[in-house]
Amino acid sequence: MRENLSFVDRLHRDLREVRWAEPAEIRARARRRSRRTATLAAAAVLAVLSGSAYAVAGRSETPAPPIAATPVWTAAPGRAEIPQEALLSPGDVRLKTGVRLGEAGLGETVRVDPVLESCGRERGVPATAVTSRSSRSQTLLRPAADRSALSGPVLSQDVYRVDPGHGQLLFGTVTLLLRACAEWQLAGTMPLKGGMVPTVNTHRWELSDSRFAGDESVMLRHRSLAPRSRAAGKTTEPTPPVEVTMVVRVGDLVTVIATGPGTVKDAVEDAPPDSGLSYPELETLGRTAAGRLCVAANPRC
Amino acid sequence: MPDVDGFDEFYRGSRQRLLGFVYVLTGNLAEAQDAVQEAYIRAWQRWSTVGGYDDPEAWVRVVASRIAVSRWRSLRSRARAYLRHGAEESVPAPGVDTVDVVAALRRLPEEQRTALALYYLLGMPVAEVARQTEAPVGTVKARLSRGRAALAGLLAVSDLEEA
Repeated sequence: MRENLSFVDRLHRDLREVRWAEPAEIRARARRRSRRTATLAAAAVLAVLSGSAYAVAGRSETPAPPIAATPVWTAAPGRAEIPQEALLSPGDVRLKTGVRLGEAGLGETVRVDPVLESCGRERGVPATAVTSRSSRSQTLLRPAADRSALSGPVLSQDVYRVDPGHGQLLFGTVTLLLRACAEWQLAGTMPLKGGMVPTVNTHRWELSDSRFAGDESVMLRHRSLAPRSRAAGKTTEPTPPVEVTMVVRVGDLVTVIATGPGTVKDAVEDAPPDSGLSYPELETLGRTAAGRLCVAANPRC
Repeated sequence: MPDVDGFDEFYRGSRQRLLGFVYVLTGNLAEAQDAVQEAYIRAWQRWSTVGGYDDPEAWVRVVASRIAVSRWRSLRSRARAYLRHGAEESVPAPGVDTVDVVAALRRLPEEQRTALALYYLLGMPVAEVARQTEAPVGTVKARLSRGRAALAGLLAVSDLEEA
């Protein structure tokens, strides 16, 4: 055998590099498709009534309407759309970045850290999911040349416009989640030696910093320990890199910035100098993000 | 109101497993990823029903497999993958060893390939493989045995442990 790894292990190692669409993107695509189907069905009825069914039938590949081209609510005055300029630009990040992926949405739930939120649900933290009016997201991928060494994006950023008071509610929820989930052990399974092995994954979160940007801000440090086999107690994979999530609010806009693997230079990791962003650099990035939110925030700043 | 959190957790927790399974069936990673993604989109459209199943992953697996093995679909998905990702390679090529095994798997009859993928990749017991493929347990054991023999030169000893 060419190397001491089973086929299943090799396959999963190889597939770990695959870039996945975020769940919200999958849901948005499903929603767009349902909407398009409904639109086409309505158009077909109209076409039949007007005797032009042939023309409609030829348009089955009509592009989906943009998700958030224009907001549909009118209750709140002030700026509604979130322009791209309200998000960080690749030049704001000291690290090299590659392709920028983006998406806008309506009525999306504000997500801070899905794993932390899962822990919160298990630990009974009251579910106070904040639903945004509109949102815009971006993911800054690594340059193609760097992807062989590190998987995942450099960072992802979501900007949400929320109802008055909901921003503060979100920060309150984050505080509760941190109190409840300083450490969380998650049972799972992992492919090992040709079969699935029960494992335990330990996650730790801590408040790294707060009040460093905007009207409100927090920086969460998420450290995962190497997954361990439940039977043998041995580690089954290397320790995942530390990840940082920053939540910054300016007026009615909240941004969540999550670092990708290897983006943070953390003391616990044996990383070469200048390989990632230091915590002071992350604070600066948070302040830059807050400054960019100003172009679209209500009230203006 | 569909259970957004439940779907998101399900998607994050199962997608890698599902991708490995479909990739082994099809031998084309970009195509497998496209099929898996499409299956999750369909799952979300019906999540109020699919999310209530005892094993929603089995539903998505069947849908993704059907999508992936369709010739028409595979041609279209390749074109879509290219259009979506452009010339940039968004799906890194698996290692040479993996490609060798998957290429060898592609030469096996579909039922042997499916049995091997369910048993080795997803860790299902023989009885469950039999249930999912609607075949007697003895038939599944024979398929696994023949599949192992065909791949013996390419697999590690731990891959070849008896069912």
